[in-house]
Amino acid sequence: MSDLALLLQRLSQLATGPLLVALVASAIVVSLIRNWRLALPVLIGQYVVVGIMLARVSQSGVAVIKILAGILVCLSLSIAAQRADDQRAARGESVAVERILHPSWRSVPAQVLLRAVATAFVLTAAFGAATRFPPPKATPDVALSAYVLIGAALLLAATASEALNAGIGLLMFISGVELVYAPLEPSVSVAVLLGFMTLALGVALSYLTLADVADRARAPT
Amino acid sequence: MLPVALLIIAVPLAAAIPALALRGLRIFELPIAVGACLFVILLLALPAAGGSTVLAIGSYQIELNAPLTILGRTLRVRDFDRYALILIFSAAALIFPLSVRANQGWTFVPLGLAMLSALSVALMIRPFVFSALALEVAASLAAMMIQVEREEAHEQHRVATLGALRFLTIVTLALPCFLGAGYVVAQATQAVAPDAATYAPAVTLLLIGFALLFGALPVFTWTHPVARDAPPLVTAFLATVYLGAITFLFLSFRQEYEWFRTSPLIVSAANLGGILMLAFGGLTAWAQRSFGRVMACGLAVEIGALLIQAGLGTVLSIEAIAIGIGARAISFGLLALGVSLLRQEFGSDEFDTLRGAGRRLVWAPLAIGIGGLSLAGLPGTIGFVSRWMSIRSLALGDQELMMLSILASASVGIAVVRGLGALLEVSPTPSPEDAPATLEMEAASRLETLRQLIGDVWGRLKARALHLSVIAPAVTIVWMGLAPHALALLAQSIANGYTFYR
Repeated sequence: MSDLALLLQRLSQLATGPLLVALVASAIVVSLIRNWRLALPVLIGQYVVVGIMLARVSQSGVAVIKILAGILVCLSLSIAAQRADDQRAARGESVAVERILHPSWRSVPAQVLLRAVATAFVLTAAFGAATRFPPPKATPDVALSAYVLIGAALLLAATASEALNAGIGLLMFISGVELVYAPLEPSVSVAVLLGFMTLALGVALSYLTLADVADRARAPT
Repeated sequence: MLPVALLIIAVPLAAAIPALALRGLRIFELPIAVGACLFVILLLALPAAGGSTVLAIGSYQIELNAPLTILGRTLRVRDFDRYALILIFSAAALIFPLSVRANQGWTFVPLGLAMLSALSVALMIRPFVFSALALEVAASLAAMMIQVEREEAHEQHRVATLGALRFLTIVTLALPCFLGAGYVVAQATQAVAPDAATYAPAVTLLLIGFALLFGALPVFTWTHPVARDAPPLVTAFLATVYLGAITFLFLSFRQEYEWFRTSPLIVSAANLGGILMLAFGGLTAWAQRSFGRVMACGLAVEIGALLIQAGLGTVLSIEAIAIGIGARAISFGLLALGVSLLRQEFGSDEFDTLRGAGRRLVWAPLAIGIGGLSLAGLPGTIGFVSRWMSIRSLALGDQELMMLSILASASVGIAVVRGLGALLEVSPTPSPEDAPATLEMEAASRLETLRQLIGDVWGRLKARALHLSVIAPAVTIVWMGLAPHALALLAQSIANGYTFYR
């Protein structure tokens, strides 16, 4: 067993509580804050937590593939987002760093409040679904994590207009589905194919992220 | 021993590499793409001697039914997939060359080839949960084909990411349905006496998954945004090749799983989806004011008709589906070519901005007229043959559905005629942004004269390619409308293949 797989196996023996809190917190952050400089590092962290949870219910090799595929996709998305920001900066539009350093306090509270209310509803629904419709063979913590990820992902994909944020939603959706599916089909080949699929999706999303900037530049004002 | 399954996957993928390297040079990439498709068609069409050997080169034997194992999963060309794959690759081989004078972006040919490979995997791999993964990869490629950055300065048609994102999202949402159904089926096969109730969750999940993939759930999903945002021939490619692969995947489920075939939910769900799509497409088509939206409504009507036929599952209905896919490849392809020429030349496909434009660009109204009216089922075209088969199939059962299908097609026809009316209107025409200005021919030197001569010959060749890319499919539509024997023969083989259970 590789060192990474061994490390994951040890980490998977940690208490459930902190992992669950970290996963829910990451889902909340990604749902609320539509800024790639914050969202993508949080998404990497979320992939690590999902990997640790997968190691609890499946082979640690499966978890390693998940984490590596996730990190690669996040890196490719961040390169695309950085290039998109460069193009925005060249046109004199605001970029992600500026929005962190100089937030527009007039518009931020209204947007964040609306998303916070929607996220609260989604989390409540996820909790209800995890207790009333637990997926087969899933432990309660895995069930809750999966429902939180799927719920937050659907909210993000449905409400985000930018390709990057909607894409992050799709990636979270796949993570949630994998959490449900891993205990049912613990084979490494499925994990490899799911990892390959995540990479293909990541390439497409990076492409769309770049195209999004060109589109907004061309859009009539 | 070399399994044909390996070549079906590897040949388009291998062809995609030079096509990607030579992107933009359509004189090279199109023959590569068409050659790869024809090679696969040839492999599948060759008669299998001595069991399943289709070709023997030295000590290597290419076996049709030999399994290919990847990561413990088996890919195999089953008898019922054989003709379906021929039809899908034929449709791609018809659509690729239409882009010879209508730029569809650098992704169209290379990623189209890679998508063919992924869709072939989806059809051939078992257990079927892996089909869903292959479809997701195909959707990722499709998203890049839909959302392509076109280089022409005069291409002002607005490009948004909504279509690509919507398509990708819908296919991603279908993924857990197939994974869940796979688990239920695995559990059911371990049960002592599995009955219909044991398989009921799998049937429901598969129906939701297929409804999402067909674009029938919810009714307004990817068809309109994709038709608006994607290069028109990419829409035609998805309408024909992608939808064809999904249809044959659905039919292979019916063929393989008795619990799926015998479920009463299938017919009612397919009818519901079909009626919604036909009603939605039919009610909205006639009133559209742009060719992109007419294409989208035409696609909705096609999906509706296809769903109803897929639900019936009779030999006649599957023949109607197969002929419909073949007819759609040419009709939708030619319509898309016309729309593409208009967008390329005038930067728009809105009726209002194109009033009288058809008189400047005569090939566009010709392509839209013949392609669009064939899509609507005008007698004398291949579209009519498809509609006639569909009507024959429905006339034996639900005649209300038959009338709905006819009315929805007529609505598409009205929209096409309205668009043609605007195109051929006698009025001042909008001038293209960078219409080729008449060059003052000044033969200052022999070198200059030679350069001009070469330029003139090249211009004539390009114009000839445009004429050919419109006339050849237009003639094919009419010719196959009058003598559809070859397509009917293929459709019959497909129908016989997918109804072994009779």
